[in-house]
Amino acid sequence: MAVRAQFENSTDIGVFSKLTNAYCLTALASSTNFYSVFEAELDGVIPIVHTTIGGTRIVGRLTAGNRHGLLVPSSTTDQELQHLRNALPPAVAIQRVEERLSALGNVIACNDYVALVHPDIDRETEEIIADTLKVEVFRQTVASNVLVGSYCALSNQGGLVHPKTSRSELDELSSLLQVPLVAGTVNRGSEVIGAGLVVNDWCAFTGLDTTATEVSVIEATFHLQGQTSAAVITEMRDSLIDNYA
Amino acid sequence: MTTSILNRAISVYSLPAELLSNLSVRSIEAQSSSTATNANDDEPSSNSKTKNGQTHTLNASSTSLGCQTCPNASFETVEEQRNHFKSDWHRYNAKAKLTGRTVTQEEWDNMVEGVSSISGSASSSSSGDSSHSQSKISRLLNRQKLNPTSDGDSDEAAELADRQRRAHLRTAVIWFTPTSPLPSLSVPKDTQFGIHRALFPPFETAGDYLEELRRMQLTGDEEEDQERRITLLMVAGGHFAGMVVGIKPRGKTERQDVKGAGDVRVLQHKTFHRYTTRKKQGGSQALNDNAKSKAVSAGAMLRRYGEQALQEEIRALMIEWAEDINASERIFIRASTHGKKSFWGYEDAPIDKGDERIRSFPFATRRPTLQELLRCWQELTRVKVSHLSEDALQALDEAYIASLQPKNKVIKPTATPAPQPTATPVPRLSPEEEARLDRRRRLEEMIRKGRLDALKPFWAKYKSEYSSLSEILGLASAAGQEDVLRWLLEEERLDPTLPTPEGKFAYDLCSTKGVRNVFRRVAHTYPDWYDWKAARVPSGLSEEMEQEQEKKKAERRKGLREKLKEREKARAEDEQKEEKVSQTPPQLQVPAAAMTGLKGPQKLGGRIGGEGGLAGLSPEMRQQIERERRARAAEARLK
Repeated sequence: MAVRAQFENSTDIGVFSKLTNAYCLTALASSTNFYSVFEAELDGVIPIVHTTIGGTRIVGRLTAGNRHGLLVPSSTTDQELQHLRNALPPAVAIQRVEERLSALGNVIACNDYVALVHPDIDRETEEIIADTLKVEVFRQTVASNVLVGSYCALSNQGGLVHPKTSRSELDELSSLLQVPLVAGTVNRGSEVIGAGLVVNDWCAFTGLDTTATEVSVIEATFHLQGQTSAAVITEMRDSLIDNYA
Repeated sequence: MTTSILNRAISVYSLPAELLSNLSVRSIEAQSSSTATNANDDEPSSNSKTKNGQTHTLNASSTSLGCQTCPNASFETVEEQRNHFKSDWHRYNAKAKLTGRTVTQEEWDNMVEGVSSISGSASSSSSGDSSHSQSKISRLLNRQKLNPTSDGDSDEAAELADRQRRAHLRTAVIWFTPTSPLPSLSVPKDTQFGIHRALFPPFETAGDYLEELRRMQLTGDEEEDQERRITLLMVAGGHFAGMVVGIKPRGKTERQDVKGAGDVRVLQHKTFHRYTTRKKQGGSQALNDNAKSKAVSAGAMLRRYGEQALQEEIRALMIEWAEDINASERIFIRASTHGKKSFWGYEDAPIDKGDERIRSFPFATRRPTLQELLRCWQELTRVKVSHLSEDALQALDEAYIASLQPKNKVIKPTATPAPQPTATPVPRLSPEEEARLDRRRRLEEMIRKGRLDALKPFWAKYKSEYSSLSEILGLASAAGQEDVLRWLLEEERLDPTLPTPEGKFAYDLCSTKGVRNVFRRVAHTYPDWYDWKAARVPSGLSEEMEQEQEKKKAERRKGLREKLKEREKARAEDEQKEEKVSQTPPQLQVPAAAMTGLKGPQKLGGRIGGEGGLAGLSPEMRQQIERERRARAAEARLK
């Protein structure tokens, strides 16, 4: 089930939230509308945590995580770290990372098994990622973009990547990730997938501008409606591909 | 007698015409320029080779497992592919892809070899092997960044540039020699004139320097000479000193406001000082602020202000002097990277960063003061004179080239053999030869140190290697190792009648009597082994003879000892007599033994022991003694 949401008139909800199979982080907003959208879907299933990271609201871009752990940048204050420790289940390891590329959400894309990271990331950070998130780490680019976290959204079921990713690159990435990948857009043609979409194994939240077609691609890609990603090609072909008579 | 021009300082800018016309450049550069062209010659071939190697072939089929980033990578299984994505090669390419410069497996292997050989030692970081490879990647990328213009063959290009640079054998001073002795100027035969290279534009060939030197001379045309000037600027540790000097020397009537400048025509001069340097710790405040967080102490504030003020003052001065600076032929600057910001890189700056006239001082300079600037001026513009023979110069050149050679070899092991005869290539030794040399060295050491136990098995093993056994014998006798020598003569039966390669006999080389005796003893015991006379051994030495000698010596020694004793006795008697004489003046009750004990010069006040005698005396006696003493002292003074 994919739900549309917006954060204070911004449709880039991936910037202001982080969703994994074990927890959800949302930014502090002036109203709780944004929080309520998540609460309606996830209440009682996983903890939803209101937080800031280093005093900012762009929690989705600054953090990276999966059900095993959460990585926060060095700008995170001790109070924020303590708050997260209190709010998250004890099984989730929280680790502060001293990394030059401090927007961890932009440079790390991961599910519960594999992580794609920016090619320039520190060796130490790479090890922390592997240990904390219990994933295999690959330095990769997505459609020649080094900000792998910005240009793709991954779950254990599938992944949506930058629309300009070539077929061969899709093949390569999916053989790395061992999940089917689809190149697509969110928010009415935005290629910044990570910013427009947060997803876990059973639900997805996407920007308010996302079209019905985009939503159906997302649902098929991440198996949210009992469909398989093959449906993207077979059933949605007509709506996706414009044929000039 | 004509006065030699060498007796006074000669200015670079006013060399005598006669000398100037007879000069030639004496520089190693003349020879080395040919190597530079040689290096150029072999460049194209290596260049084309790498370009051929770099042609990329696309991944053949998209169905087989491959890698999008790495050219020519294909895999049998998914596991192999996944492992490849973690390899250094792929990691490097993942980064290199962004600049469009990916490498094949082969090229990668070559690159890695280069890196490991450059670093020399493995990094000792905690994560060991993998982090080492990571740093390798970053180092590789850094190297690529350094030479962005040359792609692929950057290694060769850098190497070539380095070789050329070194081939120039850049020395700070260019030396000129007169082609013939100049009696009119009383310049003797072996004379060299040195001029700082910094005064010249950067030339490639030696001949240019001579032409430029001729061009540099003052013409004698008043107006033109008046115009020529050189700027000297120094800033360090909060001190600034700047000076614009006219090249033409000051006339007698011209005003001079700089003390001690002599005939230096100082057109402009200025010094500043601001408090910028951190006391006791050194270094500028800005550096410290950048390295650590901004210090907030009062001193730090003052220094920060001082730095800023100094920079502003210098900049203002530069603008004020702009006309003079623009007219300068050379601008000598001594400044740190930070300090150079005062001179260029701002609005209206009279100096451009890439200005061809800018030079640094080619020698160590002290704190920037006007006096220091004057000293630097003298150092720069006075001709250095040396008197070295041709052979000595040749030796110096060779030493210089030799000092450069090894580094050259590390950079390019297959360097073309240097054509100049000065650098004699060391012949490479085969491993066997090297081992033999090493063994020889060891053997010599064993003999020299008399390690007979080690020598015996060694000799048994490698005896066949040594052709000139007499040399070994000579070595043992020269080292004075009696045991080794005896063993060599008696057990190994080395022939002492054979001369060493130098034409000497082992016996001649003996350094001590002990070793000589070894020869003689052996000669006595085995007189029929060799013709001992031919071996220069004078006569055999039997045990009895030795004992006899010993006895004689002992007797002689005994006799000597007795004589000594007698002499001692006689002296003691003499002294006793003297004592009696000295004891005769009864009023002097200073203990006699103490007086006789004083053999050296008599000191005023006598010995400390003698002082005790005064304590128990009556006042009159004491006065008398005192008087005596004073008289003696006066006498001593008068002497």
